[in-house]
Parts: sequence; C-alpha cells; structure tokens
Amino acid sequence: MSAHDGPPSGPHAAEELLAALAMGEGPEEVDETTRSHVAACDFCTSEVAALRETLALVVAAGAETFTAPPASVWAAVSAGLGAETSEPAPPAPRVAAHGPSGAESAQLTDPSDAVVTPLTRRRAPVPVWLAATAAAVALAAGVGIGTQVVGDPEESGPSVQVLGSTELASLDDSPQARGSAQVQRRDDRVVLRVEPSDLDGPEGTREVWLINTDGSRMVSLGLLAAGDAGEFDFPERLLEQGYRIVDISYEPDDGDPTHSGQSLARGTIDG
Amino acid sequence: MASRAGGLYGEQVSSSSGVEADVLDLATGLRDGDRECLAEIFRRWSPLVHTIALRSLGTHHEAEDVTQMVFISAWRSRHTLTPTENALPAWLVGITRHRISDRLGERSREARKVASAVAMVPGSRSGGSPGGASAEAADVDAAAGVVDRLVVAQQLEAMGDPRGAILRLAFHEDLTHEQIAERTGLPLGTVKSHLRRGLAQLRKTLEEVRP
Ligand SMILES: [Zn+2]
Repeated sequence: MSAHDGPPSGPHAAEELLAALAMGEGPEEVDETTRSHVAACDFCTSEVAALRETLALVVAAGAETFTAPPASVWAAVSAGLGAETSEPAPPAPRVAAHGPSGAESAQLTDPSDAVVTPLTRRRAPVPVWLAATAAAVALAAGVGIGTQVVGDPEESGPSVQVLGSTELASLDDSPQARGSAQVQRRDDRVVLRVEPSDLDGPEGTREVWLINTDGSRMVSLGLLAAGDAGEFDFPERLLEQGYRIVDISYEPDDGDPTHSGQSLARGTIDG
Repeated sequence: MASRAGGLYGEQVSSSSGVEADVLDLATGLRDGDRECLAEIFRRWSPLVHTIALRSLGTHHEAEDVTQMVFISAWRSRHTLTPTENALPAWLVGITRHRISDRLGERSREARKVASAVAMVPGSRSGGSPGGASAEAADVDAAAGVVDRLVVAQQLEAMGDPRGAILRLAFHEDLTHEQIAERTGLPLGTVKSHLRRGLAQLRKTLEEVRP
C-alpha cells in the first residue's frame, strides 16, 4: 500500500489516514480528496472496515483480564521436556481406562476435584474422572475384576440401612430381569451393591455406571467381574444430584474410557 | 525495526516500540532449541494461552492441561516456526486453537455417546441431546471472538510506551486526544500518530492470528 495523496482514481489512501477514518476523525484530519477516493475504492473501504473492527476489539479488550496458569503448569512442561529423549514422551500421563494401573494414576489427581466430574472432563490427560471415582477405582484396583464382595451384606452388622434400590433389566423390547442394585449405608460408608444375574453379552469387561436422570452426565463407578456381585463406594450426594440410573455396560478392550453404548442392564434407584 | 519503520513512514514517530525485535529474538532462539527462550515465551504468553483455553473450555483443569500441551507442542514443533516479528504469537495461538478444538471435539463425541446411551432407557427423556452438536458449534463461534479480544488485550499490554499508554488512555479511559497530550506531555500530532499507527499495528497482529 502506497502512502501518497492522490485523486480518487489514484493510489490508495495512506494507512494512517485509513486509521483516522476508522476512528471517525473529521475533515480537519482527513481531507476531502482522500475521503472521495476511499468512498470510490473497494480496497480502501474494506481496509477502513477492518480497522473499525479492530477498534471495536481494542475497546472491548479493556474489559479483559488474564489468568496466569499456576506454577504447576510450567513445572509439568519442564518435566515433559526433561523426560524427552530421542523418542518424544507423551505430554502428560495418560491412563488406560481399564488398566490395573488405574488406582495409582488416580493418586495424581487433585483431591479438591469434585466427586462428580462432568463428562466433558473425563478425558483430560490427568484423569479427573478417575479421581471422581477414586474410591471406586481404588476398589477396582486389584484387577479388572472390580470389587468382589467379601462377605454377605446381611452379615455386615446391624447398621445396614437401605437408602434406595432398583431391579435391573435388559433394555430390549421384552426386558429380562438382570438382577438388582441397592444403595446401602453401613456405619459411615455408603455403597452401591450391584447383584447382577444372567447378564449375557459378549465375553469381556463389565463396567458399572451411574447416569444422571438429567440425561447429560454419567460417572463410571468401576468394573465388575462377569456374573459376580460388586460393591462400590457411593458418595451419597450422587443420589441427591440425580445420579439414579444404574447401568451395566459391556466394554470392549479398546482403550476407550467412555461408555461403549452397549448396556446389558439398567434400573433407576427409587427412594 | 526502527529503521524499517522510519523508512516506511519517513516521520518522527517510530512505528514500533522495539517489542517486536525482542519477540523476533525469542522466536529465533526457540527455533534453534534454546530452552531459556521457551521459558521466557512461557512467561510472556502463557497467560494469553491459558486465558483463551479457560474462556473456551470453562474449567481450570482443562485450561491447565491445554496450556501445558500447547507449550510442549511448541517446543516439539519449533522447527515449523518461521521467525518474523509477528509470527510467534500467531503461531502459539494457532497451536492453542488446535488443542481447544480437539478438546471440544472430544466433548461432542462424549455428549453424543451419553445421549445415545440414555436414549435406551425405557421411558426416559430421550429426545434432547444435552450439550449436543449445536451447543458445541456455538462454543466454537464464541471462542473465536474471545480469542480476538484476548489477543488484542495481550498485544496492548505488551506494547511499549508511550504508544501502549496512549492507546489505553484513548480507548479504555475515553480521554480526548487533547487530554492525552496534556497528560503525557507529547504534542497533539504525535498522540494522533501513535493512535493511528497503534490501531494499524493491532490490526496486523489480528490478521496473523486469525485462522
Ligand atoms: Zn484505495
């Protein structure tokens, strides 16, 4: 862009004059010759429009403030590079959803994270969703077998109180009974006890989920050994928050931590 | 920088504050594998990257993840940076956009999965797809405006004085040109020139940053 004054048909207006026009300055700043060139020139007109848009952003930018990341972020960047060899290391610890290492990885997460993690966070490199169900994961730790029930719940003392329960059924057109689930308070602990029966489905991993009745959130409680009952620590507020739909899915061994979409049984906790 | 600017405008107000030359050094250092340069780049631009991520994604945790990934990516792909005076912020913002859009894509897939899993509940409210595709599209649109605003805000902060101060007085504190001249002790013509050139400079930065 050249910076000469000229007749309307001549060279484009100088950048400074275009900026002055964009700022709405008067004839004492931008002469009539320049104005009529700009009015007749598509290029200059669009330049002025772009500068006006920038001006609007500059004004709006006054309200912006920046949030610096906490020091841990630079530490993580440094560590990521420090570990770098000729083979680039992954940027952050990633955790296989169903791996036996789940419990250790859960320790990496921030304990201040809420118990219920929005779905959108479940795939963060540091697996928040594992922290979300840290207790359950810890139970599931030993295995892919999840949480074998050690004793009979009826034997676990007089303090068992049932907070809610549901029958489980398959999801097809003629639902088959597939067992039951109970939320139980035992002393200071609240657990979801899942007693599946006749789950069918392909060989492989069974995962227990809680789906919110709002239909937009779910959490994984952990894995279930095929055909066996399991117990999962169950933060009581999950119930209040609407996590009432118990779902047992079949999970193929594909490393994808999200629900496979293949539900074997489901039921909604009453009470 | 100053001589190039002087040649272009042939006037007494230098076009830039020297900030870009400095940025050029940082970009060159990064490309050549100098970790000190990466640290300095992080110091200067991580608030921008982190804030863009925070505004686009809404959670501190994800914003921190994205920020971390952006700077690690920047280091790993430093050879793709062509050091020019404006390239570095645009390049970082480009990496940031990619990371954010990856993350939003994961959200959409996840939302669709929940929706389809929930849809199988007999008698459940299966019609709505909460946080579905259209909501994500709106997120992305909104994010574009946020990025522009934040880039401009960051550039304004980084702009050396007196130009940066003059722009802020004019556009954020609504002082007249005469008041700014009085406040800064600079001639009115100089104030006006800084405003016009500052605006043009910001517009160029913005153009670089836009995808
Ligand atoms: Zn023109």
